[in-house]
Amino acid sequence: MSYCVNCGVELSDSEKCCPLCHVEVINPKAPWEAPVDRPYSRHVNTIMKRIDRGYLATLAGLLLFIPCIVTVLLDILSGDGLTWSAYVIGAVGIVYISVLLPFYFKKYHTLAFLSADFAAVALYLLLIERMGGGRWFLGLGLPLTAAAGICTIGLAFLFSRGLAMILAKIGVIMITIGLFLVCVEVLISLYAYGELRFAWSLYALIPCAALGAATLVLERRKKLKESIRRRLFY
Amino acid sequence: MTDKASDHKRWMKLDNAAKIYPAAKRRRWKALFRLSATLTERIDPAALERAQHATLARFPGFATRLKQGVFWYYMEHNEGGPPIEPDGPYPCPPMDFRDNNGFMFRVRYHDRRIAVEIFHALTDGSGGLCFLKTLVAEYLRIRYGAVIPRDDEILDCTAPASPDETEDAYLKYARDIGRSRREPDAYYLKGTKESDGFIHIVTGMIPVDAVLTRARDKNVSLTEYLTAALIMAIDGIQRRRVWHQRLYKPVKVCVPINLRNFYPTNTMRNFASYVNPGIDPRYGHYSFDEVLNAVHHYMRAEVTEKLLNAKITTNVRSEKHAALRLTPLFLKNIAMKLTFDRVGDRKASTSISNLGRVTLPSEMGRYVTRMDFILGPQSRNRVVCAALSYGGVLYLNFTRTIKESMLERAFFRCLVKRGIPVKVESNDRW
Repeated sequence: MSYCVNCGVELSDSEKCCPLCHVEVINPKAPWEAPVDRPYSRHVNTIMKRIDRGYLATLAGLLLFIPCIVTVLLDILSGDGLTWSAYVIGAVGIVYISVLLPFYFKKYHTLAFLSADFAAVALYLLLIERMGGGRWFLGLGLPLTAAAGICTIGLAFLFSRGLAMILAKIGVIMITIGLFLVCVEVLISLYAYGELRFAWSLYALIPCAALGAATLVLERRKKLKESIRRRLFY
Repeated sequence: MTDKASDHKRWMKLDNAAKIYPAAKRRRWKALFRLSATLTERIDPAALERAQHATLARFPGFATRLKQGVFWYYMEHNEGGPPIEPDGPYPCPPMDFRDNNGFMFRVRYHDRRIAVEIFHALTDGSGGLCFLKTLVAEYLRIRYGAVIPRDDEILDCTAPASPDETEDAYLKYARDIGRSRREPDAYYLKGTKESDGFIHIVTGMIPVDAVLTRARDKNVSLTEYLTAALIMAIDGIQRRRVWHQRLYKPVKVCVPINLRNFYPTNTMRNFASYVNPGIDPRYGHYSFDEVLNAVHHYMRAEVTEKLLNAKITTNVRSEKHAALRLTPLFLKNIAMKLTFDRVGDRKASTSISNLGRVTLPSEMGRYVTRMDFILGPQSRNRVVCAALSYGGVLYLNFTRTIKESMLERAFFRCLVKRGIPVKVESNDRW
């Protein structure tokens, strides 16, 4: 019989490691051997897969098809061909890609799905431009969508790579918001005036950047964090 | 069961406690518990199937399927039986009734062990134990020709079922005055969920006398002693994880109470209440003796016929309320699910369910070497404990859905430090 040196409990012969602290059982007088009769079977019953997520997504997609068909029919029957129903179809398409598409996959691939979402939004904006007229997609719509997409995907990438501290996350988000707002103003001014103009975005960037930097600094200064905690002790 | 001339299928209502379970269940969670008996020889599945068939005839409450009515769920007689399955790597995986031929329990076997996993809407631990004992007795009769004397705990399968075995004892014994169920939320033990849904079981095998001696030295019962040790373990974990005392939450353990000890009934269905003894660590660092004292006096004060009756009366009054009775089932389900999520497991950090000393007649006991009681995963609490003692050994089974085993470790170390020898076994993957 073996005992766990950490926990002080006797270990059953079937235990290769202590189940309480996971320290390996090393007993020179009684080396561990896999038991013939295990206390629990290794036979894995198939965990019920009665609800197939992909099937659900297809079903939901087919259900979403109904308003599309109805709106297309109404649109066509109104005599002007396909007009406003295209907006409905586009919106349904975005819902499908952002909500239902992930159901076809076992794991949520954050970067891929986020990219698909923003691509869908960009296509929808293109559709709106084509339907409504104008030439704003390439100059404004696409760059704004791309900027939002890059910021969001960049944040998701950073967080998935292990940026776990809450203060650091807040700091990075604040700075990203500030930079994004600057980007928005740059794109709008380039589109509207053909030149760079900074007006309101700096008023947003400065506090965002300051707050973001402050939280990032605070995150790295453990003593400062501790001292603030101590002063705020109640 | 009610016999309707126009409907050949016998049916019965769910008992008061059972009504929450069909509403609160999810695809990945059902309120299951498991009882098992380890015999001296390998199990013969064919004999086990015949034993199940014979036992089901005697337990009409088990030979049922769940049906949806307009206002309530009900149980309808079900022919045949669930398939006898080999046991898996962990007990109480989610149960789909459709895979079970509609039955709300399943019988499994592995090596020398027979296990019964039961949906809580059917019965509680006491009723489940009676079912297991009867099943094993039938198996031994079929396999070895053993003649097992039958009594209230090992039923005679040749005799018809008695109507009082399917009575709703809650309705029978509830009186008029209820009491509030409000209490503060307890500390919630967090951990890393297993990505594949693996359920960890850690079994501690302890000589009963060792625990009883120490419990009697402190003038407490065995359950109170174990509850206090659990509270100490959780308290230690909270102190390490929560940085400030003011942020501590009460540490409470849910202890089911068998109401059959208070009221005469032969019901095989649910008939239990619960209490939540605990401490509030915000008041300071409790020693083990202080925790024992708190638990002991809480149990003495709360586990009385009057207060338990008030508790069950509250639930029965809810069931009898006209507005609730006339609410369609689909609305009731939503409300009960929300209530269960909001209230359900929040009032306790964990549970310890102790079935007490299990005895078998000698004709049966010589075939049975061990018995276990295991709770299925709870909806919110990640670690729960179930216990029973058989053959002088106390079997404590922890069910855990997270990777970290800090609660079991702290608990068993608490016992070991007090000179109680513990042997552990688990279903860890290697």
